[in-house]
Amino acid sequence: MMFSLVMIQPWFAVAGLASVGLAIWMHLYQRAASRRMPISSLRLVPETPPVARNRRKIQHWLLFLLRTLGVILLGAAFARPGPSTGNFSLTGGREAVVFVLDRSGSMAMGTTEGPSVWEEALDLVRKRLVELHPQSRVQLVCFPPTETGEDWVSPSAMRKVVAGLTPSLAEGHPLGALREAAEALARFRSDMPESLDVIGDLQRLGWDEIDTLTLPEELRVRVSQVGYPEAANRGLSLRVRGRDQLRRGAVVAYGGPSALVVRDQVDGGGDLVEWENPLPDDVLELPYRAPTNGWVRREVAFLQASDGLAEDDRLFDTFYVTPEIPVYLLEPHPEREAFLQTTFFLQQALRPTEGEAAEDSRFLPRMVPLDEAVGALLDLDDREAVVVIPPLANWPVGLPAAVEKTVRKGNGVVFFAGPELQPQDYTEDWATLLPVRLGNVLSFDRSLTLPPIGETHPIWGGLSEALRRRLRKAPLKKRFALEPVAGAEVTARYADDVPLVTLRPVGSGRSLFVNTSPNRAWGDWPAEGALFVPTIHMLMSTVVTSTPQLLRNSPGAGIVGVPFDIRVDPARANVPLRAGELTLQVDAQGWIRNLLFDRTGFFEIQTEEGLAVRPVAVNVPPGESQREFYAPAILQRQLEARRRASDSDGNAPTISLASESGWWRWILTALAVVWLIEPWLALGRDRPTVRKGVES
Amino acid sequence: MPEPLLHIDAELIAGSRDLLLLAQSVVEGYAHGLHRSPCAGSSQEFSSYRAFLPGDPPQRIDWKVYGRTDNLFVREFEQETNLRGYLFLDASRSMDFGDGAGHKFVYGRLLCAVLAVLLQRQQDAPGLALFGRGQEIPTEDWWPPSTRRSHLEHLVYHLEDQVADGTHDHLGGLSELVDECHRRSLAAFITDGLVDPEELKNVLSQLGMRGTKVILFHLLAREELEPTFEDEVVLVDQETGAERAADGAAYAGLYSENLARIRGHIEQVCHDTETEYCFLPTDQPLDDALRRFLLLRSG
Repeated sequence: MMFSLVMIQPWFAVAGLASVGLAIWMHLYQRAASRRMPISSLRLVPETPPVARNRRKIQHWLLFLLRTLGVILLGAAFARPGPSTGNFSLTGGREAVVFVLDRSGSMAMGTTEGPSVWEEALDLVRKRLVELHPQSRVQLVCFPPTETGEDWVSPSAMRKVVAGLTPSLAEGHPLGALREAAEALARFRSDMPESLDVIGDLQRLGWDEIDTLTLPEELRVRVSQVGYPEAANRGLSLRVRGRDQLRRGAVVAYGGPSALVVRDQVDGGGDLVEWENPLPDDVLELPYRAPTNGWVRREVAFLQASDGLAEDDRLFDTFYVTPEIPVYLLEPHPEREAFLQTTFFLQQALRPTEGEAAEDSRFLPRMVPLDEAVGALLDLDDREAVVVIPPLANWPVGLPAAVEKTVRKGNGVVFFAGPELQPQDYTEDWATLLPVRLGNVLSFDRSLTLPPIGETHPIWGGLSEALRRRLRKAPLKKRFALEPVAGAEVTARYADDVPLVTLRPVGSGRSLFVNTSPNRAWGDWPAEGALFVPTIHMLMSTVVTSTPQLLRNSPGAGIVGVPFDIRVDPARANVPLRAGELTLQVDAQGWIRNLLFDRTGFFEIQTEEGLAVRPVAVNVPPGESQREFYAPAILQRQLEARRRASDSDGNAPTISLASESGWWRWILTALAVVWLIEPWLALGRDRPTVRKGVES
Repeated sequence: MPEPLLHIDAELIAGSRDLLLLAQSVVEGYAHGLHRSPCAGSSQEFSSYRAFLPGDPPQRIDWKVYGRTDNLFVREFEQETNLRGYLFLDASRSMDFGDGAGHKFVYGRLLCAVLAVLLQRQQDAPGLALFGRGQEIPTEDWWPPSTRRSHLEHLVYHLEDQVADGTHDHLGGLSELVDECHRRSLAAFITDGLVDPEELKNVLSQLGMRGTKVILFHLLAREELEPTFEDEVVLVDQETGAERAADGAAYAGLYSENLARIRGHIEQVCHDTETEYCFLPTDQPLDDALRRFLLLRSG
């Protein structure tokens, strides 16, 4: 096997050689300047000294050679050289070649001049095919894979196959393709030399996994990069932040101008709303709101023209805008100043006037004096309202029945604990609604803690990690000893397992008991606005069960090539739906599973009859949009290492892509030695023979 | 070669931060065995009391002290001298050269202090001027001769703080200053000779015409006398900062010739102006300098 040298960054080696000029210049032009000798007066020296400063010759050869060696070693270390034993050269005879071709989203990139990255890749494949012996056998493996797999064909037949290929916008994961190529070669069983020819832009995505790969022993490997680095890129990607009523879309932009244009279109003939938005810190958070209710198609794009990969310069999102949810807060002390009312903090939290939640809130709090509550609830026609019952010492006759009637229609009720609450009275009057049986009040000197709250927590999983940590130590100091009634479910507990939030289905609605006060009577939790507002929003969302709310809370955007789930009206369960050519099935909860699209944009999910169900948005995978590449030499060496791994006992060595060769360590060691010697040599040479005096 | 009496080395200088003390110890060492015997003079400068001895003139008895103590004391006065000694020290930056005790200005400063102490011991009046710092000699660099004891102290303390920082190679206002010199006087020039030779000649002539005995101490550091040139160097003038490239290997011989020529020229100037010329490499002891100076004074 021939030995050759491969450099990861050959330009550094060139720069190192060019820097030899610097060493020469130092020795020719700087040598006199470095030997300055003070003298009391130039009167002591002859007027016309016999010296020729323009005479240039290298005098200190050892030092010169040492410095030259130093800059060459520095360049060589950065060039990261290493041995390449897989010298790929055509044999001129018959061969079995597998082309592993990248057709991921980044390959669809256009370049400023000349052919696109994809065309460049195809040209390279065609060129290689022409170079092959006509009786060679060729197979093509793409990542992402093509819909129809290819078999071993002749080079001329493969040229026709290649002509029909198109790039995908999906993510590319080369590991599967390489495995498939290795298996194809193993199955081929011929006496022809076998080769693997990898062609792509070598984007970082997916390549880190090749440590687990094993290639045939005699396989020759060639890695070729196309499209790098001339194609500049910018892009947009979407992340959803928050949960439930506080969800909002976060648009992440990179490489583009500092302003975006946002277009919202409500399905069913709503006006197109368009506005420009500056981009703070590369992330723009957009609340899911619209002037009218219904499905909204949102498109975000850079304000200026697009670049080589136009598909990632626009971003698509869909969401469902629900009507505002009325929340009836029964206030026992409406005559008091607002801030002294029992439900004051809840009113503020559900309709905040500042902060992110002010834009996102879909709740409409209404304070109802306790005396008027019965009449108000009996007139209630809402089917997704929430009634909040603060701790009450007494209540009008007929209130429990009115609330129960409301809840059974499909609305929710939320009870709060507090000092005014008498357990015995509650147990007697509210037994059909209360999810718990109340015991004594338990007081604590220190704040109670909650157990760790993870991302899957049924109520507060959507909070940020910082808020979840804060909620664990929320200042709560009193609570009831209680136990849930039959059919109730504890959705949140204190750290000592005492229920904090208990949920009970009642008819079509839900009843919730919160084991702390809604005001500061039993702790300062309501006074911490940044924590209280989102936690109360999420708490209220758990008792809202209507279909529009389910739709609102379901994600509406996916990415090309990655299966994702969306939700539709559960009434569509088991009804066949369509999205373009795709036939879709809806499960009992209204979920359509494993939706997969191969291009970006909006797609309409329809019934067989053509009735619109909901739109879906699909975007370019963020990883494909970002352009970070491996050097071909690194990957080639890694693939060769995978091949060599099968030489011995078949155990694949663990080789990181970053540590492709240990040569650089030796080079740096040599450089360190040079740098240790150089000052000693230079100082020894420059030690002055006449020194300036020292003042006493 | 006889053992030198006055060792001036780095250890000696470093061991004494007090230039006056150092100069006095040098003089004491040189004049070993001789004790100062102040003669009773007739000047107005009171010196001290001492007990009356038979033979002392009765008019010198202090009767007021006798009235208080019942003991006879006579009052002694410093004798005024008729000789003024002018010490001219070169403070140009070219003097800022040499290593340790061989540093030209350090050496010259010590020599100056020693001569001042010596003059004081001889009842002469030492004066000091530092030149080479500008077109004129500033007031603070000119200390007219005086026999006051405090004058010597102030003069030497002032000297102690000086550095060679002048950037002029001419003698500044020395010519005007010489006009103020007393006619019967003694002058010592302490310089490295790297001054304008014509100007030096004029000043020396001027002093000679006024009847002043002049001695020129020509200081040169050992590194200047025997420099080691290697390879190509850039010589940097201490005074002006000017630079000149020189090929050291081919340069050593020419340098020695040039130095000999400069020395010869200064010697010739001294000869022409009847000035005593004393060449002093700064690694040499001060014996010769003091001997020559005392000879000049007595002669």
